[in-house]
Amino acid sequence: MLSSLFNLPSKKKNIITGVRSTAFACDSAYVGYKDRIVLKDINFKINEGDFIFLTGESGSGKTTFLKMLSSDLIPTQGKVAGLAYESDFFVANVFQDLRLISELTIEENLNLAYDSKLYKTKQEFFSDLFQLAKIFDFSANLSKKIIDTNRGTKQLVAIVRALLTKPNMILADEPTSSLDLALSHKLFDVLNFYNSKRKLTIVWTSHNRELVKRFNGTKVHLAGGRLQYAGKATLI
Amino acid sequence: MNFKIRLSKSLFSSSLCFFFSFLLFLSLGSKNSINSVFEKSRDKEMPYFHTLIEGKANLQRIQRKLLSVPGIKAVRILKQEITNKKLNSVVKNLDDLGVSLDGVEGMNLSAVKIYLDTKVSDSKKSLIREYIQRLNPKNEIVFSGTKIEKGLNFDKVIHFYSSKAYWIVVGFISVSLGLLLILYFNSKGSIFYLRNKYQRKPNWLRAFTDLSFILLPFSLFIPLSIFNNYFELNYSHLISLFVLIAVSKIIIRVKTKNYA
Repeated sequence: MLSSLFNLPSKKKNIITGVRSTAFACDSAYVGYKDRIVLKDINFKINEGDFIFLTGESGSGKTTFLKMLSSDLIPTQGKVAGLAYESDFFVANVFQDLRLISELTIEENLNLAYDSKLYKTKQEFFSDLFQLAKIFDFSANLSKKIIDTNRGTKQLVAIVRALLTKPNMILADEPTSSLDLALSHKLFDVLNFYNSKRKLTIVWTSHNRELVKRFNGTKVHLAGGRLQYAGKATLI
Repeated sequence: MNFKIRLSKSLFSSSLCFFFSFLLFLSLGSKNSINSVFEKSRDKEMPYFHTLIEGKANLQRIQRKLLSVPGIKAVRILKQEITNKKLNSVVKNLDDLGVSLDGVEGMNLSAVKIYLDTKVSDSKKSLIREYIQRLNPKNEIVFSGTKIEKGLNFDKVIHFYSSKAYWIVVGFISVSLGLLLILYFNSKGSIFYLRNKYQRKPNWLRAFTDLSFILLPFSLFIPLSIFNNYFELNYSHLISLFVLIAVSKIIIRVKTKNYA
C-alpha cells in the first residue's frame, strides 16, 4: 500500500506544484532495542506542515516513535522513508530530559543553537532569541544559570532552543509536563503559529487532556506499541 | 552538570583520582631525584668498627687524633649510657648461655665508632687499630669486626622500576587520571553533542580539537611508557598538563559565551 510513497517526488517540484511532500512514512515498521520490540507493525505517514498530537500511556512507545522519526532508531523490520531522512530537512528535538547544560546560563544554552548557515548576522539570531524569550516570559532570566531555574523555565528554554534552529520538523516529547495550563496554551499557540505560517511540521507527545481536547488537528494514539488513531490522521 | 557538583557528588572517587594522580607525579615524576639520591647513597656505604676503651680515656683527644689519620672518614663517640645498656644486655645474654664474664659489669667502658674509607685495605685497618692501641697504652681496648653501614635500601627502589608492580601502578594511576579527565571533559562533551544536535553545519574541526584535548594527556603516558625503560614524567609534564586543562577550560567558557 505504501509502496508509492517510497518513490517520493523531490521537494522543489512540490513547492512549484503546491503538493505537500511526505516528511515521513513507514510501512510495517518494527522498532525496538536489543532485548525487546517496542513498536509493532507501524504504518504511518506525516506530510510536511502536519501538526500531530501523539498520545498514549507511559510505556506505549511514544518516545521510541519520536526516536524513529529523528533517525535515532532504525526499524529492525519494515520500511521508512521521507524528507526526514534527507540532509537538508532539519529535525529539532525537545527531549523529555531537556538536555540543557546546568552550569551555563539560559542565554549560553540558547547560543548553542546559533548556526551561521541560518542567520546572516548574530544580531538576527539574538533578535529571534529575545523575541521568543519575551513571548515565553523568561527574558529577565537570560543571565540565570539553568541550575538555578525551575523545571517549567527549563522546559521553555528547551523549546526555544529547538525553535531557534528554524527546523523543518519539531519532535517534542512531553514539552508541557511541567507547565501550567496558561503557559501550555501559550506554547501551543506559538507552535500553531509556526505550523500555519511557516509550515513547520510538529509531532507533539502529551498527556495533557485539556490541550488535546482543544486541538483539532491530527491526533494519534499509541497503545501497547501499536498505532491507533483518531481525528484527521493521514493513516494508511 | 557542573564540574564542581560532579566532584562533590562523587567525592570519594574524585579524591582517589586526585590522590593517585598526585602520587604519580610525586613518585614517578621525581624519579631522577630518587636516582641522584641513590647515587649519593653509594658514598654513604662506609665500613666501620667499634672500639671499647676501658677506664677514663680522653675520648675527644682520641677523636681528634683519629680524624687526622688517612683512611678514617668519621669518628663518633657513643653515649656512655647507651654503651653500658648494650654491654649489660650482652653480658646478660651470655650469662643465660652459661658463659660468665666476671668483673665486666663493674667496668667503666667508653665506645667509639670509627668510619673508614671504602678503599681502606685490611692491612691499613690493622695499622689503624694498632694506632688506637698506642693512643691508649694504659687502657684495655676491645675492637669489633668491620661491618658496612648502608643507607636506604635503594636496590628495592630500582627493582620496583623494572617490576610488574611498577607497571600496575603506572596503569592504575593512568586510569585514575583518565577518569578525572573524563569527568572534566564530560561537560565539554555535552556542549559538543548539543552543537551537533542543533546546528546544521558539520563540526569536524571542533570534534578533532576536542578529541585532541582528551587524547593529549594520554599521549604523555603511552609513548613514554612503551618506548622508554623508565617512566620519565617530570614536573614540566605536570605543569603542562595543568596548563592544558586550564586553557581548555577557558576556551570552553569563552567559546560558549561568545559563540553567537
